[in-house]
Amino acid sequence: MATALRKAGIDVVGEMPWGTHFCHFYETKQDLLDTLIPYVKTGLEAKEFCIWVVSEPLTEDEAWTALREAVPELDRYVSDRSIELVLAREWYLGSGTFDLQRVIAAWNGKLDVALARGYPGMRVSGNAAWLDKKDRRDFLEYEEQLNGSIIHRRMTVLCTYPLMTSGATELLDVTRTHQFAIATRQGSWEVVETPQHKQAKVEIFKLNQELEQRVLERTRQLEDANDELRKSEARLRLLAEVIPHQVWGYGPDDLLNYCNQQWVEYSGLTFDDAQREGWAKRVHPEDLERAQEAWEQARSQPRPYEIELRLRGADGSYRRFMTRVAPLYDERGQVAQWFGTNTDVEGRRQVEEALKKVQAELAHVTRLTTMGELAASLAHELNQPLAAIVTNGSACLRWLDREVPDLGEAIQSVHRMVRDANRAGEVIAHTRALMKKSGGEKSALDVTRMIREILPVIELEVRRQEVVVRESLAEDLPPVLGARVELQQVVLNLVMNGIEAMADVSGRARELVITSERHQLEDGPAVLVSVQDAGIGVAQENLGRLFEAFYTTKPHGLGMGLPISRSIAQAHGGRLWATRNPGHGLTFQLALPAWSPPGS
Amino acid sequence: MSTEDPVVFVVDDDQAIREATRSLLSSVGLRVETFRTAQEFLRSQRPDAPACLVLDVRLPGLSGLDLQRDLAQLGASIPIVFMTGHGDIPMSVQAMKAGAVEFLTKPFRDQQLLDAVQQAIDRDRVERRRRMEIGDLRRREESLTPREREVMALVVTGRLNKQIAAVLGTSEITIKVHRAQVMQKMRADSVAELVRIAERLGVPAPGE
Repeated sequence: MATALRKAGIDVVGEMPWGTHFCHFYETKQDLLDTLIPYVKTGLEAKEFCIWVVSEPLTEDEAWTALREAVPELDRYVSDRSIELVLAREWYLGSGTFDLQRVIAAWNGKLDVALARGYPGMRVSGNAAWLDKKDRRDFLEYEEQLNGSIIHRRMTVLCTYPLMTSGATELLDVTRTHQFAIATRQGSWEVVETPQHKQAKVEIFKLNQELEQRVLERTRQLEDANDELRKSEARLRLLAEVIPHQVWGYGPDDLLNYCNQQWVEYSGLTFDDAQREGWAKRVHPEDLERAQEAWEQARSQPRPYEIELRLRGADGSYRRFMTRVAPLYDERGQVAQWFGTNTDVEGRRQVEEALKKVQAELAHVTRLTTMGELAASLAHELNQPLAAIVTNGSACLRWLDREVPDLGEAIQSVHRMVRDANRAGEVIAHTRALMKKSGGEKSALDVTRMIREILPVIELEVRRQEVVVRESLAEDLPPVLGARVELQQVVLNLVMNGIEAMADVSGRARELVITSERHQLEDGPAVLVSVQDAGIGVAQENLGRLFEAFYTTKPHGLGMGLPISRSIAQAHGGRLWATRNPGHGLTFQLALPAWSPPGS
Repeated sequence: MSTEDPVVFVVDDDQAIREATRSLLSSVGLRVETFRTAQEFLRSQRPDAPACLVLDVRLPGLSGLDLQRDLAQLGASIPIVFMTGHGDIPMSVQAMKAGAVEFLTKPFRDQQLLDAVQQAIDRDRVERRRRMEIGDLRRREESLTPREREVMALVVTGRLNKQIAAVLGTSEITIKVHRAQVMQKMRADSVAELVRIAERLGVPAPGE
């Protein structure tokens, strides 16, 4: 039901909803006109369909005349049949008797036609002045039925009753069968409401008040919620501003839509500039491809990811950042927003590098110290018997050189010399055994995995020497039986040699290629590791000497790395050799026999 | 073997070195006693004869340098010839400063050791003689009466009998008798000789 209020055109009534059924008690004909003319006029102007049931004291002509005076465009309303004037006796009595069902049906019929013709509703003015006493009871019943049925229909009904001819009982009855009554008495208007109407109005008032209260409460709740939301957003924004990370947001349209102060300060860009420029220009050119790949991949299959990138700062220098990116989904599961943080890891990486360097130096020093100690201990162990042999020899000569040679003493001296020389031999044999023993436990190894474990160790050196490392590592290699640490030492040694060999190279790429692949040795399947550098290389005639102890081409080299590496390879039943590359540098190849578990 | 026959003590933890060194030193007629550790040497009963110590620097427990220091503190001044497995300059400097005769790096030539040992023994002989003379003089000094000692102390400062009599509050005649006793007991032929003897004994000048 439409709730829009209609203007009654009568001041004391004001606005009324569809379904209003009220009555007017009048004294004079003028009273009647004063009420009905504005009532009908207002209806016409509101484009309502109007029916005026005319009764004495008015004639049809008087009604038309009064209307024409009040409504200048009456002819148009008449011609488009927006208004009908009907005579009360004809309308209510029809063929002769008052039939309330027929009259109500007739109203409904009129309303249906009006609605069908596009009118918002129907405005009716009825009149009971024609009523005879015998019809009064029926008419009141009609009014009561009308009062009950009209409430849900798009019509308003104003019934007019002459005050003079109505008795007190009738007045009460009439008033009771309408929602309310208005009266004109000595020029002033009065409104009489029925108890039901009053009650209804009170209830409506109460409901309205309750509604208003609830609207107020709801509004306050919404305001509170909004307030809380605003506060929460402000807090989050503050948080995003104070955390020592750069925070940024990208919309699904691939446009920057948020960045915090840290971001602005580091990049030196305004938000607008940054939005126009896009992020790619801030990423170090060497990291760009990787960054774009990760971003594209995350966008095609939304998921959080992190990546370490060098980002350009306001001063044009680059620092390393750990960038973490995560999607935010809307209720349909679509990405509504990408959020990211950039955490400065430059300092941490520098410390790590310094630490690695120190560790490497320490390892080197430890190795040297160990070697030095070993040498010192070996020297002492050998020196004692040697010194004893020399002294015994001298003594022996002196015993023999006496006037009367003392053969007994001389022989004893020689015995001691033999004994001490044997002791020196034992020292050497013992040392050799000791060196052999330190090899470590052998186990089945995946050579490719073993190489991958080394890569982080060489990273620093690779970066420092600006070497490009290319890997071509086979995934399906047969296992190799060996001591992991020893074999890693060999590969590490080959890699470091390769990097060092390229240290002074300029004018060509410092490229180191590490390969692992299947191979065939004379006595069965094997795994081949190749380390190819583009370094200074070695003359063909010196190739073999690389594996001799104390032969080195390096300014600080000991010349022990390759001989030791080769002996480790041989201890594993493998081979280690070097070849000259067609272009520049050398390729070292380590072949290790494949291991098949017993019983396979 | 007379007590004046020199003896060489060899301290080295390496049996081969001990045996070889003993043989070499024996071949030139030296008496040799060997010890495995410094403590063993310290505990030993050593003969009263010119001696020298052939000492390895590195020893288990008390090291060669420790032993050198301890001996000096005990007043047992025995000349030391050091041996070491490897030439360690700071160590050799320390040893030489503390009075070592020689610092030999193994392996050494036989003559180096024999020369060093000989030098050490000679040094010990001189030292022993000096110690003996002092001991003799001290025994003479001990035979003096307290008054004679006072007189000697004043005589060696060059004072006349009259002056000494004045200092000690007695007659010149008495001083003269004491003085003759001092000269005789100390076996000094002249005042000059008495002065030399007093110097070696470290007699303090009175009133100084």
